[in-house]
Amino acid sequence: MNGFLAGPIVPGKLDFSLAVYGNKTQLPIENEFYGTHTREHTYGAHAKLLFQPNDHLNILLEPVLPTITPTALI
Amino acid sequence: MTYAYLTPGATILNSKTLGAPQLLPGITPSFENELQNSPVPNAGSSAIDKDVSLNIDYEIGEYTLSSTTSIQRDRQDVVNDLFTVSQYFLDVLTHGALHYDNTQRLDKAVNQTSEELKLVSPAAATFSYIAGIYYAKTTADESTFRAFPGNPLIYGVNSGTATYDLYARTTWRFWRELSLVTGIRYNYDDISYNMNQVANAANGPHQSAGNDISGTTVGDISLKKQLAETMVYATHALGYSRRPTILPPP
Repeated sequence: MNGFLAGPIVPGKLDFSLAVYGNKTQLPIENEFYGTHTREHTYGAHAKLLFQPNDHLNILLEPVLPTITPTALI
Repeated sequence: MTYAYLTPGATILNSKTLGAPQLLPGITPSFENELQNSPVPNAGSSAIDKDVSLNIDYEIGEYTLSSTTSIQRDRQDVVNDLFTVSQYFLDVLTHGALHYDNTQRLDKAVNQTSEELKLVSPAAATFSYIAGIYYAKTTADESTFRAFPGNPLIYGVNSGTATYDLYARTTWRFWRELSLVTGIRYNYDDISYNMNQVANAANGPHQSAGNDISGTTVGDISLKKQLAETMVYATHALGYSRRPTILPPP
């Protein structure tokens, strides 16, 4: 799953973008003890916030939210 | 003595280990096998990155003052199922007198905080420059935990680097399309480490720590000729290679 959203919050002053993604994959190895398969999950988000109060000042905040890649045999 | 591999059913220290029927019930080992049978509930790994940066550009006349602040927090956790067998075999062999969960943990964390301030002059002028200061603090920590009584391994390592840097780069277009480009940078580095090995079956406990501080200046000078769609450079640069190791104090 992937998603992207961008646009102005206050036109000409405050803009943003947000990208999120997630992926789940089931792998072939099966643990008979629990009856579960090996799997891999990856997900994260990337955001930008651009603030331009006037023609001389440009502020960009760019958090990369947790990017998590666990693999488990639970 | 360290056992790296045991054939199921082998006899060690006058004791017969569990055989394949007990350790791998219902499984026929082969290249095509896709089954395992293990009670370890949390084997696997995860990597988590949390980063944020803030960039501010402020125009003062034709000059630009920029600030870049960055924070990175990266973490990796690994749990190895060392034997991938169907029982906590030490518990079985000792009839519950000893417990071992068949795992080894490996945790790593890398953190960095940095700040850069730079002033950029108008690029179209005959003489232009970039000058700045840079600071970064980086830590890298790692720990391993394997509480297997027959072959324990428990240690932690912490390392840190703090760097304080000054730099400047100038461009002087002194004749037609010919420019002289110069750069200079001063790095002040403070690095350290601390190792605490609590248990290691082969080498025993060990502790060590050290740090090193150094300052270095590097620079370069170039002659640049701007052609219609390309440019030609001739550069002379002075670099350095940091000392690769830190010696512990005597």
